[in-house]
Amino acid sequence: MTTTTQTLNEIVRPMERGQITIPVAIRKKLKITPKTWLWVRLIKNKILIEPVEKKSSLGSLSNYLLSSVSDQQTYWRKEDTKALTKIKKKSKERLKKLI
Amino acid sequence: MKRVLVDTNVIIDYLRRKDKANSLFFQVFSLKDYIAVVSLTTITELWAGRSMTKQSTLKKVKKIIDNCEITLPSLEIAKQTGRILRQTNYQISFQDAQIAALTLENKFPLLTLDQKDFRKIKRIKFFKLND
Repeated sequence: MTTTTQTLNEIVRPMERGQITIPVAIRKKLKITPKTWLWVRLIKNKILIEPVEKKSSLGSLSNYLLSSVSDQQTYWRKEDTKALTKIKKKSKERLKKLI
Repeated sequence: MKRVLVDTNVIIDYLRRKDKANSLFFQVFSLKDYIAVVSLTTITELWAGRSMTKQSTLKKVKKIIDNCEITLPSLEIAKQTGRILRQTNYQISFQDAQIAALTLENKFPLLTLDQKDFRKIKRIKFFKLND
């Protein structure tokens, strides 16, 4: 096993059912505890493990949307949408000045 | 459950409507088949709205965001954003380029109400219901 504290990497071997141990230094750095949910993804040929606040909110957005379906309040003004368009326009102008 | 990257305009449409059940956001995410993923760009754009100074809006938006997953940028995303800006000859905004980069890098389909600018980007996959 190789450990480099500076770059925080270590080579580990998965156990029979695919379990791996996240090195202590990485767990400490990312504040990973047994209560932390980890989002495991396959990206190209790499596995990305990312701490997330909670387990992928399974169905909770759906529950929230369904529970507030009768809510008829308007929460966003047209002026705010215009302001966003202005921000995007400014960003394009800024970029054109840079290049 | 499939992850879908949600553009800011989809959430804004939901927030603006009185008939929220007819919004695209509701129609997609009231089903339990999809997980809404939002970018930091979208959170920034939402928080930029003056409506966010109203407690009711703040509470509503926070509740939505709390039930979404947040995808964070990385060095690769930053490079990809730059490439997209270059390849589109700076015809799209930085914000849209970053959302597109997150879509491409994470292989998430994109849910947006304005496909026009994103169509300028090669390989972008738009979300279709029942996809």
